[in-house]
Amino acid sequence: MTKQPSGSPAGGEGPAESAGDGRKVVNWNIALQCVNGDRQLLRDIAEAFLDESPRLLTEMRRAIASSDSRALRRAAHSLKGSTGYFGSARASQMAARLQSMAERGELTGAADELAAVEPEVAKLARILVDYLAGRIDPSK
Amino acid sequence: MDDSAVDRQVVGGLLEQRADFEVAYAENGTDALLKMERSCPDVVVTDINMPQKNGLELVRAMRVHFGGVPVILITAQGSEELAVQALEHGAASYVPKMMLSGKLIPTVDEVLAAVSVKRSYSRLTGSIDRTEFDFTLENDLALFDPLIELLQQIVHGMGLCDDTDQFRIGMALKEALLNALFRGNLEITFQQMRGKVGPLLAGEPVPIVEERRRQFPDRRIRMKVRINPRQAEFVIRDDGRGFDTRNVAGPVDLGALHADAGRGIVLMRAFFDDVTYNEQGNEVTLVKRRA
Repeated sequence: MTKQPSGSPAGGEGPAESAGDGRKVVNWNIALQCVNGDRQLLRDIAEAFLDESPRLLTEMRRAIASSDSRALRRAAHSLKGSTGYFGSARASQMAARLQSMAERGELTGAADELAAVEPEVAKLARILVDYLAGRIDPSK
Repeated sequence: MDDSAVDRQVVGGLLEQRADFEVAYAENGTDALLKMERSCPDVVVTDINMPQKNGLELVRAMRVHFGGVPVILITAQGSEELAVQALEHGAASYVPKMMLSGKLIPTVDEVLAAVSVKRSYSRLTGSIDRTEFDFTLENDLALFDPLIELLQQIVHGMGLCDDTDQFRIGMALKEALLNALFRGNLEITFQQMRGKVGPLLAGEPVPIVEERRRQFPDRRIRMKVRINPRQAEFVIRDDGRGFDTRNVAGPVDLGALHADAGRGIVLMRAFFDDVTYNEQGNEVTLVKRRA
């Protein structure tokens, strides 16, 4: 269990939405497992993520610019957890690295790491928009 | 309670899957304490990582202002030390974030059961100078809750603990008894029991439990209780083969916070002043001293 990406729940491989380069961005098996199969709750979480993730990214940008390790740690921690609910291993791992940098107070390279995590979050957000619009069926 | 809207939605949504739970939300510790002034909850579930008041600060404030309300922590990797401190200072239990869907509701149920101690004997238990009990228990889960309730009432009545420690002691004793019953006497692993405690308590037949009871008909749990005004000592012994206690003899293992199976030991160590095992590993002694 501890080898799972930080913040992500246990779960096996399953159907996932691809980033276009073959990588999995969303693992719907993990996402459904997180909500005990409750589709409405999954929609609620997807909406919460779409509302919250831009704020978290803005907060992380501000924190890095002002060398505010504490704020960066908190925002990265939240992003790690919320991407983990959708089985977004890559985004979750990147957020975990940012959290770890902030905990050590070493923000060198944090801007580059953030620049890498932003497109991952954007891909996840696009997939969740498609899901909420009914263009994706998580059970397939 | 959680500053992350997504986490709040997940935790609240899972709790709302239970029709008998009414869920209220708070974004931070200060907000939570203000809301509790207006409407006191039965239990608080909070992320350990919070702005303004983190989980540890909230637990400390709750103990002062809302001592009878238990706090369940949501823990994540990177927050282990804070979580252990919060458990030592008053949190009732914890659920790793990666196990929310499977563990949150059972943990809330466990905590609520430990809190629901009736106060009917409080004047009487307040008059006890010292007491000793020796129990020999059959391998029956149904005996645990009344036994724990009795002990909680006496320990609280004799002034050895406050409201918060009363239910924490109950939870840790339950973990020790469950360990003696399943892991000790019935030799059933944690994984084999997963998801079966609820049905068992509801009186439904659980084949592996029935089978092991037939296999080990003479095994019993023996519990010795010694309570005086200075301390309460609980010795719980099973008739099983014992287990290797080397890995559980030290301080709280931070890694165990993420493992499903180590929770009982984490809670026992956090809630009692001393936790020791005999050499064979089939007897645990738990000591709670007057604060």
